[in-house]
Amino acid sequence: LINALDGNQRGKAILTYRVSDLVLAPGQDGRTIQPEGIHASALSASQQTMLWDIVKEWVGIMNDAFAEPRMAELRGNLNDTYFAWSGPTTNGSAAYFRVQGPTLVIEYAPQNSVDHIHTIYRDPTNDYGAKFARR
Amino acid sequence: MLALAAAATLCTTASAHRRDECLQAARLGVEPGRLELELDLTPGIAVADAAIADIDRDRDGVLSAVEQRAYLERVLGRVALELDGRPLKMEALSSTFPGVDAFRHGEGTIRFQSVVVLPHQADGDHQLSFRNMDQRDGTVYLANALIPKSDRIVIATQRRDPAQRNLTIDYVLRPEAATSVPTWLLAGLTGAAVLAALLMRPSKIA
Repeated sequence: LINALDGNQRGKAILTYRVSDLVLAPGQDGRTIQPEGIHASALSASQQTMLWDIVKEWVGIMNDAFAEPRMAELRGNLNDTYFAWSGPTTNGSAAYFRVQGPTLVIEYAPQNSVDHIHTIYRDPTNDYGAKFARR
Repeated sequence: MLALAAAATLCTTASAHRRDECLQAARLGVEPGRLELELDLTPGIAVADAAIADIDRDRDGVLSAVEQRAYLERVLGRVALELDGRPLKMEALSSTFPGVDAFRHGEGTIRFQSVVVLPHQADGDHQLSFRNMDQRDGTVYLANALIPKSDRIVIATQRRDPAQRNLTIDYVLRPEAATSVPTWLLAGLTGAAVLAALLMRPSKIA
């Protein structure tokens, strides 16, 4: 995806600072950081498809009965979804990225190499089913 | 599964731990009249003993309350906050320290929280600066603004140095919505409601 962006899009997507680890790691339930990066709505149709393919790598951990409606919900938040990147853009390099929307945070944070990855998938409005527990 | 954390390695084990660096992660929540600062410090396995030694000054293997307080004061001494160019004073609201074993597994995080009462701010543009002057080798940094809870605060930009030791948040304080009811009107309405309730109360039959 990052290499499918043009120069202008990369200027928005690529953060100018190093992100060494997860920002919303375990223990940060329900917290939401100010989003950064490029708006998903500023991506072309094919780039958006790539973005949703990435998201599905995490959402697809659930079986289809849950993953499909979840993906539909996330696609519905396209205008409030962001993609941010930090690090080199060559294939195989250790780079950080984040996909963030109103009900989604995905972070991928290699620890100096791609042999050791920290990653997290969250729905900040429903971390660990908090929304269900409130019912 | 709505929140999932993992550290995937090529080895057969998988856990979420830091290895060779100390992570200092700051989160700043700007609200009208106050600032919430959270600072997490997580030493990696390779630097855990040095981190423990930095806290456990009497080397008894226990991170006493006095040692914890002294450590936090040293940490706070290396952090600076400014609002529109004027320094802000931070005081510890709460802190938690893990046990030394958690540090040695790269899973121990010291969590520090402070709430700073902000001086009166006019509506309009403001700038909050966070500086972490800690520059020890083997330390990495994160600094982020949280999404404000109040819709009066709109974060315009976040600017950082490449290492994320410094974060400047440009934000706008919007005027308070003119929806508040004047006090005299509220008091009058309340009085009228009480009077009406008394008059309409059914009388008891003897």
